[in-house]
Amino acid sequence: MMKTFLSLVAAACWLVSCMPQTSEEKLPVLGQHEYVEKTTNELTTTDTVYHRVADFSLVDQDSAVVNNDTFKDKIYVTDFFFTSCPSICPVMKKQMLRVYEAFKDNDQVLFLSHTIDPEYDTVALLHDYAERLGVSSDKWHFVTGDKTKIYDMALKSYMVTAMEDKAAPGGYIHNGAFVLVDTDRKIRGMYDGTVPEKVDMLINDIHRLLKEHDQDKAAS
Amino acid sequence: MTRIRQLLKGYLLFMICLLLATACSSPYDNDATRNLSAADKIKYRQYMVQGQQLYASYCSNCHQEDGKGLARLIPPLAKSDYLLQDAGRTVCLIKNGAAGQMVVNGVVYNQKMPANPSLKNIEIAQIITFINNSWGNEKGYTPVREVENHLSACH
Repeated sequence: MMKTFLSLVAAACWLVSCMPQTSEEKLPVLGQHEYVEKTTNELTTTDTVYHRVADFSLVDQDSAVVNNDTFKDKIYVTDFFFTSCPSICPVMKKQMLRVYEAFKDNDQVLFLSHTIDPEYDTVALLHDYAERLGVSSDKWHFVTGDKTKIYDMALKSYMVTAMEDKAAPGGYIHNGAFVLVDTDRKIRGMYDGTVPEKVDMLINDIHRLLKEHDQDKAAS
Repeated sequence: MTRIRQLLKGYLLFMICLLLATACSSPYDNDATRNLSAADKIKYRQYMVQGQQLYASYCSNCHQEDGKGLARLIPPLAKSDYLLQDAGRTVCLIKNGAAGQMVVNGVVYNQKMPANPSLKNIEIAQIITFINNSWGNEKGYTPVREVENHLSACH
């Protein structure tokens, strides 16, 4: 009797530990935080300044300008790739396509893919790529622009690696990260876009972030 | 106590039967390989095991683990008419890469495929055998000498 009870408890614990995170806890804010002391009316308070995505302006597959305003009041998922990439990009795109399908009908969620090979990946090529992938251009922007600016955005704003390296397959080094950005330009999650389980986590976290925004909106 | 012993005995017997049963048939066998000679059958299974590993490191990034490719960007290998129609063409493609338009199962693809000059003939034979007999494909065993013949005819 005791044994059955114990094994039941063990099974329950195991089940709970395997369930996806659905707690009400907020997603963390990633990146370096700065603490700024402010003195007003002889009262000293400390403000936390979070890491935020910098200003940018790039061009997408429809030759339209894509900048911070494009993502105003939106959650977005971003990554870095190149169309001629023989290594991890097709796997990443297959996974990103899964996220896209999950939020296709939610206009609060957008997608942003940067090419790290802008000399080869022209607007026309990106247009063809997106069309072949079967995605809508007002939902998923494939952007190109000045190479150094794109690398700078990767490293400084999104905290991912992207650079040229003649020795790497295809000529570029980049990691397969998907970065989740909230409506306030803050980074709320990083996921390995080549691992389906991590991408499941991203889908789950987007739902959590949407909920957080809904609550914030209701509170204000 | 005797009951546990009996159960254990039963379990052991079951495991032995299972081992014997799996020793004679392999999950890789299909209609096209059933009539191979005993020696070729062993080689075929070795090719499948090696081929799977080579596929994972050379091909699956683009053609994906399930062989289905990626939308209209990367063509499928699973049930692919282009692959199954012409074995020689595939051999040359793996070795030398491909560029330009390609019609697979009625869909036009236009993505460059990189060459793999470092692959040995035996490795190409293992990859071909693996992709020709996975995901529902049943094309049979491609021995290395066949690959050599095809390679000498590539242009």
